[in-house]
Amino acid sequence: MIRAGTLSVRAINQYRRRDVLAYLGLRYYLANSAARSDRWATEIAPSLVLRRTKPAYLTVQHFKDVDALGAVVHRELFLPGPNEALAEAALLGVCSAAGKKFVPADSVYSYRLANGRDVSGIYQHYMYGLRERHAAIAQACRHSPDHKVVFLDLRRFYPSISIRRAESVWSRACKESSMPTQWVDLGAKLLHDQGAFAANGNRHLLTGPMFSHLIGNLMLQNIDESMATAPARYFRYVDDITLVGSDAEITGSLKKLRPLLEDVELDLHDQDSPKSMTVSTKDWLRGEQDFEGDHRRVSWMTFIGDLKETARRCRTKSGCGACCRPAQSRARW
Amino acid sequence: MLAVLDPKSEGGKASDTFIKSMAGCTLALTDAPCGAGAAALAFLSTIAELRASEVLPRYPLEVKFIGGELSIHAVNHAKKLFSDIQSELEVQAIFLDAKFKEWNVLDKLSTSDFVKESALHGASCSSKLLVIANFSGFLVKESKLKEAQPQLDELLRYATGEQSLAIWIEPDMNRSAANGGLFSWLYQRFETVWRLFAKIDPVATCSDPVFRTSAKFSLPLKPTD
Repeated sequence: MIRAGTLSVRAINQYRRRDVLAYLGLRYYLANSAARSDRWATEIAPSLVLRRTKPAYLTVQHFKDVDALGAVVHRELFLPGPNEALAEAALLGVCSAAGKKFVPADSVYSYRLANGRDVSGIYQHYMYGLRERHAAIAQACRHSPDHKVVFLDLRRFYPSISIRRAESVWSRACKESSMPTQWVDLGAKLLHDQGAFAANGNRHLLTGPMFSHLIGNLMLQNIDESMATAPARYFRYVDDITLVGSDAEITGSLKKLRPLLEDVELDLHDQDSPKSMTVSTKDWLRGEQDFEGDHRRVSWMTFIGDLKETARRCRTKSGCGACCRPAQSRARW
Repeated sequence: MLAVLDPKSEGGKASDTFIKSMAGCTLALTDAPCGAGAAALAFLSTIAELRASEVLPRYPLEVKFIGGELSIHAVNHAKKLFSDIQSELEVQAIFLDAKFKEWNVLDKLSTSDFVKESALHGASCSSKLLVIANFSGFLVKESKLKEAQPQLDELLRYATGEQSLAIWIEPDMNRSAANGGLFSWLYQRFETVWRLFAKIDPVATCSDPVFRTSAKFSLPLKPTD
């Protein structure tokens, strides 16, 4: 019996949070003992990706939102096969070890690469980043009691990144981080295949593969660094940007941010969009404790435990408090 | 099978080479001389068995096989065996396209034709594997090595380049493994004319330039104790 290596466990833990089919594909692939070793993930899986002639991604629809008319809106995701998922885990493991350009700025709280013995995923669990961003915004709000918090959202972030730009940022980051050639080639092949798969000849980054998140962070790296010296405080989580400051500071930061985004063909949602929001720091601090009281380690086990607890509460008189109200009040709905 | 499995880890990179080449995608597999196809069939069926036993993943593998052989009787036998095994291989996602060509290692024109045919048959493949097995009987015992040398040079040149590998397997006998045997000749070729496209493993020496491994088995009719 070959013991599961770090990379295969990272891949399976990451994709189980992404999509059930991607997860099942990995489970079937990793049922084969040799495939579980780190050696397979670092030598064989990348070689198969490099040698393949036809990329294959599974197109799935994930729930995104309910629009104003009550219709369900879906997000289209493109899932890599299990071999590519393993190769990604190996590639991103090498990026993590290389550090340098692959370490996002302090103002970025999303998709930070796992390192060392962390097997919770290819990236650190998203909840850690969310909590840290929340705490950082809270601290900024406390320092600026009469100021504002502005939430902004990038329009169609991943699909707006052309493969040409993605290849450019990948190549530059690899050069500056002294990445070994075979891994540079693997990243370039993944980007090439994503471009080849994208519909209508519109060669853009796919949403779904884990490698896309690293490219997303690299794409915004220069902006993150520039915004560190902007008048308002700047925080980013994937495509969500938060600014904290006075009216003048926020105006100054937006004046700096918009052209930087335009330079890389990215755009913010309009201010009247439901994705953009402005609140006073005082109001924002009312939700300061939103993440308090839940300091348990985030894991698949705790997630399943929470689901069971929610289901149990839904069946009781008290209700779960989230999706349903207490039993005695249901009649009034 | 011994070279693929290498249970005692004595076979150098041979086992890893097989596993990597046959893990999936498209492979141009050249077996020369193929005889009745024993070497290629043993590799393919071992990989299929490892897939069936949930050791290796069933990643689709398309094999463009070409066997070179002088004996028409051996080729006919090989064709039947390849046909018999094809459906079993497909269950394990190994898709075989086998072709055979008459090949005489002592004939320059025949060798050029065979190499050209191999290149054409495997043109769409992402990797190339040349297998030479059990050739020492003819080359050494029948003293044909000198005459065959230019043709062997050409065949091995075909196996150079990115994602291309060559494996030569012989029974552990004096004519192949002893100092002055077939592998000593190979070592010298690597040191001289092939040095431009091949490197010698630093572990190997002129007097012992090979990896040796063995396994025991019981004959079915002989008592084990």
